[in-house]
Amino acid sequence: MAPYSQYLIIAVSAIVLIAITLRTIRIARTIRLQRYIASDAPGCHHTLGSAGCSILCHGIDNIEDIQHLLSDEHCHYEVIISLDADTRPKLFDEIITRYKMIRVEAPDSSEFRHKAIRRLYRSRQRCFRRLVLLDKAEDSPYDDINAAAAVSSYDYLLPIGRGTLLRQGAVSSLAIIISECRHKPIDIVYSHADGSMLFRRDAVASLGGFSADIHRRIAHSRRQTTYIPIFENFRPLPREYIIRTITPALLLTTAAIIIGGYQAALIVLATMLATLAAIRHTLLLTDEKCSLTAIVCHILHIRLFFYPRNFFLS
Amino acid sequence: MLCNEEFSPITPSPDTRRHRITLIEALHIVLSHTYGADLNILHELVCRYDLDGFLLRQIRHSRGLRQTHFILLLSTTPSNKPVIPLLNRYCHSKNCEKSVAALIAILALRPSTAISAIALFPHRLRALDISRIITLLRRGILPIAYEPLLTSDNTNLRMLGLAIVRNFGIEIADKELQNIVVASSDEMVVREALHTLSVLGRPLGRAKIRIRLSTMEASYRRELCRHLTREGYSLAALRTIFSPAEIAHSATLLKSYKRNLEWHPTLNT
Repeated sequence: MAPYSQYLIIAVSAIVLIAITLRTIRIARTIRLQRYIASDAPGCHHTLGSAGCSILCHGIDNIEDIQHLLSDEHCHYEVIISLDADTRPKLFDEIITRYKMIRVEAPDSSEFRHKAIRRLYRSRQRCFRRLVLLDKAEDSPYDDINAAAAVSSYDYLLPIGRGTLLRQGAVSSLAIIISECRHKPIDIVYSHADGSMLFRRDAVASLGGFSADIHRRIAHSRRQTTYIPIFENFRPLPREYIIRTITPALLLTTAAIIIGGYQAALIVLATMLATLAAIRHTLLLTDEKCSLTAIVCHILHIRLFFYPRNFFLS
Repeated sequence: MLCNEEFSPITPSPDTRRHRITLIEALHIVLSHTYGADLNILHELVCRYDLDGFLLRQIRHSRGLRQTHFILLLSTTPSNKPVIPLLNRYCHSKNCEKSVAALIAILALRPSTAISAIALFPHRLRALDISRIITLLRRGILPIAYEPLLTSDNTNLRMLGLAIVRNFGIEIADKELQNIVVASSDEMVVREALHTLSVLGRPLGRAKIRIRLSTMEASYRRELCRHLTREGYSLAALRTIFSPAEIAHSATLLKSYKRNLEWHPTLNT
């Protein structure tokens, strides 16, 4: 094997290994810090100011997910569920009955572009006052969360997709991040650990609402990154995205092996094993299941470290 | 004894390192949830097993979050040894969590020097740090009055004073809060004072407050309007502070809380 190609493969492998190791170390340190302050977080509601967020839910499938979302101890947040009563009548009625919801006037907002909201519901019971349900025709995920944003009352928005749940204390962690960013204008908080994004309401309104490229449209100086994992279960990436990303990587790896020979194959194999070990360690720290899907998604999240990603919902 | 989600049996004589750490952590957990606990009753226990000396050695030999954790444990471990100079040194650490843990330990062990310790703290206290100090107040450890804090020039003391007023619902501090909003040059302090006034449900329509609000950023005014709406201020109160365009969203939001539009057979019985 020509020496330059060997050096190139070693250099690329080293860069990948260093990037993944650094990311693993940062996630591990952030999780240890999060666990350290976890005992203080529930008692700090009154001192975190008015920092709170509206959780915008699209694609809720079962009522237990709603119960889980409502169980965070932080007091300044609300859960807004966008659901189509025509296509999911049974679930809709179950939510209304269980949480004693009443129909109220829907706010008329021109800040966000969305299809008309048919009905809006709030709970009569004080213990469920943070739950809001809106009935609108099912459309794209962006349209659904735009409608949810239009009825939100907090300054920050956390959109979540189908089957996504929050980790314990996630809202408190977000509130702490928001309170620490008060001295500088932040429009988005992006978590490298799981790809979650928290948006400032006014920033989203000024951009006309949520869209696939909203992350790219926000200025770099107004972004805040964190390594705190927010979601409990790993957000699955779209299949086309995975294929589009994995295929060139596999082709490049094959080409490197063909050009470099068995030595290149050994180097690439060692890099992959070290990468998988680092990912497994990170996933174990976040209590995730080490399934193949989780590992592949984790690799892709690492790749997105180098440039802003599209905003998507499952 | 349950510590860090693991059961550890406490023996009468904690002679191993793990037993000592478990005993210290157990005492910390118990005292953290106890009102008015006098640390002096633990002196005999601490002296018998040399827990303070052990903890100081652990602090010296550890780094990072582990060291921060041990410093925090010192806040519930009374000692005759000179720990305050050591804690003062850690107060000036670049690591924010370590310096705050050292400050908390100083406040717990020498509450009479609380105000000077906070005033001399080199970093700006975050909201979470202030909540930890408020926790000490709630446990009856810190004898701090709010008036001198609100009139102090030190930002940390002022923020702490505002947090005390907010946490304990001290409505008679209304005048001092309004003076802070009108006269203070620190934007963050003014916002905290406005937030405190809104939590107490005090009127914000005074002319000087309106003038001060008119100088603030439009984005903050919108946030404040939303916050006042959530806190239960009426439209009439909001109209005295904000323009019609700013309260448009609040007006529709308030409407959505008021009227039940539909009769439901099971819910409306």
